[in-house]
Amino acid sequence: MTVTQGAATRQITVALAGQPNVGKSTVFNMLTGLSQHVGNWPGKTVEQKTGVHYARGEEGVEIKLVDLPGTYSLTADSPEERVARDFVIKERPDLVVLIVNVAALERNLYLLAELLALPAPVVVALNMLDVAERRGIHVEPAVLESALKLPVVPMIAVKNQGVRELVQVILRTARDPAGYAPSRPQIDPEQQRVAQELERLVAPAVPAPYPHDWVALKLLEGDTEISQMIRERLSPSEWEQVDALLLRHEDAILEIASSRYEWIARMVRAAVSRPRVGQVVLTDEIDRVATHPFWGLLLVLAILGAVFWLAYAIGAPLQGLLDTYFVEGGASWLHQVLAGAPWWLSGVLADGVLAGAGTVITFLPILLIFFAVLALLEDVGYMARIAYVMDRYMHLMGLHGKSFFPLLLGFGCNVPAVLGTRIIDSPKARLLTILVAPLVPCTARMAVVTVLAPIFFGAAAFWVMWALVGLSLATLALTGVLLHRFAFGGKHAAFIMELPLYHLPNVRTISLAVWQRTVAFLKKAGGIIVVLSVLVWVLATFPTREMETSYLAAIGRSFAPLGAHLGLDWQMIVALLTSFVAKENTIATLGILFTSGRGGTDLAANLAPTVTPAAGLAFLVVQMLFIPCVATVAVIRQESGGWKWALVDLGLLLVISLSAGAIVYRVGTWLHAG
Amino acid sequence: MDRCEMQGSNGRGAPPTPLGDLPAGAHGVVCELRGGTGFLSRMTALGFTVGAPIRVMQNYGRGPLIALVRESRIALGRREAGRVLVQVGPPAAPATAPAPAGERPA
Repeated sequence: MTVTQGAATRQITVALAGQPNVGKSTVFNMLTGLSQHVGNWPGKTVEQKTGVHYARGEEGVEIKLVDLPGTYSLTADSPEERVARDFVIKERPDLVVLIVNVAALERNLYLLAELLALPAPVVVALNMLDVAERRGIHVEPAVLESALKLPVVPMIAVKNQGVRELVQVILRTARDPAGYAPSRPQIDPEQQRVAQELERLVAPAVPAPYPHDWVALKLLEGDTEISQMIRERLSPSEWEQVDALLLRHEDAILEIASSRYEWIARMVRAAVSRPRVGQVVLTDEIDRVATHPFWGLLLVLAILGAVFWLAYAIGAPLQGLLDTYFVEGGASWLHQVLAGAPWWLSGVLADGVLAGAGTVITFLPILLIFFAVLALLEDVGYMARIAYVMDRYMHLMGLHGKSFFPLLLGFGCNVPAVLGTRIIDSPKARLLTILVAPLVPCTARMAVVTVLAPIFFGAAAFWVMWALVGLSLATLALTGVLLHRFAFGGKHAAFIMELPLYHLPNVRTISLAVWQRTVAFLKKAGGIIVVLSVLVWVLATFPTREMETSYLAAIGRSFAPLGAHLGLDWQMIVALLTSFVAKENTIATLGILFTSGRGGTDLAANLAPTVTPAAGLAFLVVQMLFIPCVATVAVIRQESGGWKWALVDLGLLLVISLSAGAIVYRVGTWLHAG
Repeated sequence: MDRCEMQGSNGRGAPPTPLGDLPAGAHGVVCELRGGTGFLSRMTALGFTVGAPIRVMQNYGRGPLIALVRESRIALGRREAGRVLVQVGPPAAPATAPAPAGERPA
């Protein structure tokens, strides 16, 4: 990043910290606008956002902002917490800004108590003052500032109030780090003594950037990451001493947490006044319905109905238009323009690159709608209620309540389903949700079934389609249970979740979230989709320019022995292979393979006589449970942190779909014969 | 168990009850948290500490429940709720305690 505003450019790094639901991303968006860079923390699947702010009237100073993941504490309970504290300890930001939701001030300041044990100076931003005022909670920032002995800035980020003041305080504090001497939480004398004893024992083993007293404190709190780090660096006998001391103070974590809250209570006592009588909060009124086991479930279903109506009423026609004008129009235009060029050039561009890019582009309307709904429900606070209502059902599969909504989006398209799993905080539940997401039948798969089922089964097609959807969902549930039990250790996933106060949606926050998810999808998935589309085109075209004699057909034929178990001939296998680019390709491929060189052009007339009901059903079963399209694979790779889990999932789905197909074919043939 | 019983004998009266057994509208004080370090660490960060005032906002006897602790609504699974022991008692003095589900405010 080169800046040419004046010669003496100085960059200060500021980390934004805060618990979830404090409006942190709103503050970050206000400060950085579209200069944001969204990626992952190195080696983690935790989202990393950075951006730059140029302060008005402070030419030559560039504030680099790093948005730390929202965390309740800094103990290594989750990857987010590790990321947050590693950044403060190892990257040494010039300043940490802690965003606090005044409506739950004391709980929010727990993170401050943790941050003050680390070396970076902290500035506190009191956000959502308006929400707190409406609830009768009044805070005096100046009084809190003199108690904490560190800068406190009042703000209402959604109204852009206090943001400029925050920047001024950031610059002032960064300019004069020596003047920073905050109050620090003291743990009770007994724990203090143990912590000092621990510090003495482990001091020689503490690696460079870690503060010794902080390491001792974390050991006492039972922090798994720090315990392991110290254990590796001490001799067994030295560790035994440490371990014995820790065993004697096993419940130290409770004492330490209590003393932090006591310190917080002392800090805020003079600064906060609260309403005396119990009042009714709008959130609780809404939650009478929204979290009710029955009405809440109805509300979830009604909202989902509306979402899918929106996707079909607006998204599907747009998708059709894009397909007609962009993909088909573009292809014929390319063929015209490149009429004089070698055949393969127009072929690869129109039927390879454009077809691949077309898949991505025609996806966009529906993706945008789903992304917007995800961001909206998350922003207003309703997503947590969906999770709450659905948790009892999802738990049966080892999934989390928060797995429900992304999976449901999968009925539209598996891509937003996989991307939507970002709302799940438990890494295991999130990975499990990603792995089973392709078993949700998406619209493209359903389109294929809608065309083929009547060809194979005539009037019974409707019932076959319902049975196929049921089979997909049953397979999803069973796969979830088995993976949870046998691959993920079967551990009970604790359900502990804050239900934030409802608030009005912020257009800026939502549109930025939609923008970022869309860009990430285009950048990361787009390339893979285009490359694989081209690869499939090459295989289907070379060496003879006819699909029947192509490499792809040869591959299909080589699978014929396998296909025999499923009643599938090589054309059907090739159709499945091309469905990897996009599920709809199944129809197009069968159209090519069953209509050329056989006289008539009607797919139904040519296909129906060659396929027995058992084989037809087996084909549809495989098609429903088969490996997902390349776009989904690309996002699985992106969201699970690498190819490993994407490949595991592909293998798993291959085995599931082929075995299910084989069973259906055997049973079907047996029933038919008997 | 010790801490809870000690408090109970200190004149607070009612015996400690697992959070999951308390009806909507009940309030009291957290008197014990049971579980491994991971559980304790998450719960304390969310505001559950010994002595913290707590109020049950919703509990239908099955599925997760909602408790109000340090002015945040926290949803807990039944297993988690069973590991929080509460000394039932009068609501904490100047609390911002809203009416829980099932109880109509006057």
